[in-house]
Amino acid sequence: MRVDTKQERLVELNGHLMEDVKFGFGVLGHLDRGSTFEIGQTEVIPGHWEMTALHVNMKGKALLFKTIGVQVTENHSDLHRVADDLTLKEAADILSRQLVVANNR
Amino acid sequence: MHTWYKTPCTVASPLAVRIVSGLVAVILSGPNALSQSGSLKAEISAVDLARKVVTNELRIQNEEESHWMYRLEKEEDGRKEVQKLLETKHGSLSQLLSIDGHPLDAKQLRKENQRIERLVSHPDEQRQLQQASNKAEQGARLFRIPRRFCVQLCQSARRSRDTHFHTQPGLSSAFA
Repeated sequence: MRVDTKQERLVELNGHLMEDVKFGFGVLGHLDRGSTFEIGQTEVIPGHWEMTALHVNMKGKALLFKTIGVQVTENHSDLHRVADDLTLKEAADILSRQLVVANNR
Repeated sequence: MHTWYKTPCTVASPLAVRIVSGLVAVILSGPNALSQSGSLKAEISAVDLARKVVTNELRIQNEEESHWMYRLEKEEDGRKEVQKLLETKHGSLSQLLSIDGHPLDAKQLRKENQRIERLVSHPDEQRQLQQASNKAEQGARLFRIPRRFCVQLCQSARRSRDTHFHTQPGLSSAFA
């Protein structure tokens, strides 16, 4: 766990399962030992923090038979604050313009 | 962007977040959560700091109402997607930009535009998605760790003789 002491904000948190985690005494399922996760936050503008990274790698079983596998990596970038009163229509228009720009690159 | 998982059409990993948030509590509340060496004073400082940070994150998450646009690069089960996301008070909208490094072809683009148009023209549908997502994320937010977590963390720290805590300029690592 890494924190910004000045602002008292979480910068990074990562961990791994040191033992299997059982649900309902293992009947409902379990997560395997060794599964890992990692989360990161960044100060995107002064005093404002957002999650910018997530990594999850979990394996296990549900209801004895069904294998669970969650492997997710996310990176958030290019963050811009938008107006708080945007409508969905306005949001769609902005996204549409972004797509045009991306396609023209 | 005060919540991490707003709608199923955006950052759709509620299961992953549920698992992570549960594990955070499980791992950090265990007696072996704190690593090697250090003084009792440092233990308490580390725990106090962790508690302050968690409390602070909770407070900010509840108060924060700003909305953001950002680029999301996501890889799930071997599939890579790049999306542009935009948050509004009515929910979030995402625009898929590429899959596995390839821009959308005409058919995919048409389908994506239709999906967005449907959400915009049927705000009720968007609202339902939002509500379903909110329900799924209940208890799933990383920082929504109950007070019991802090208490357990403190108790664990007091039991432990192996707490590790050190500071760096501006940043601190606790429970490394």
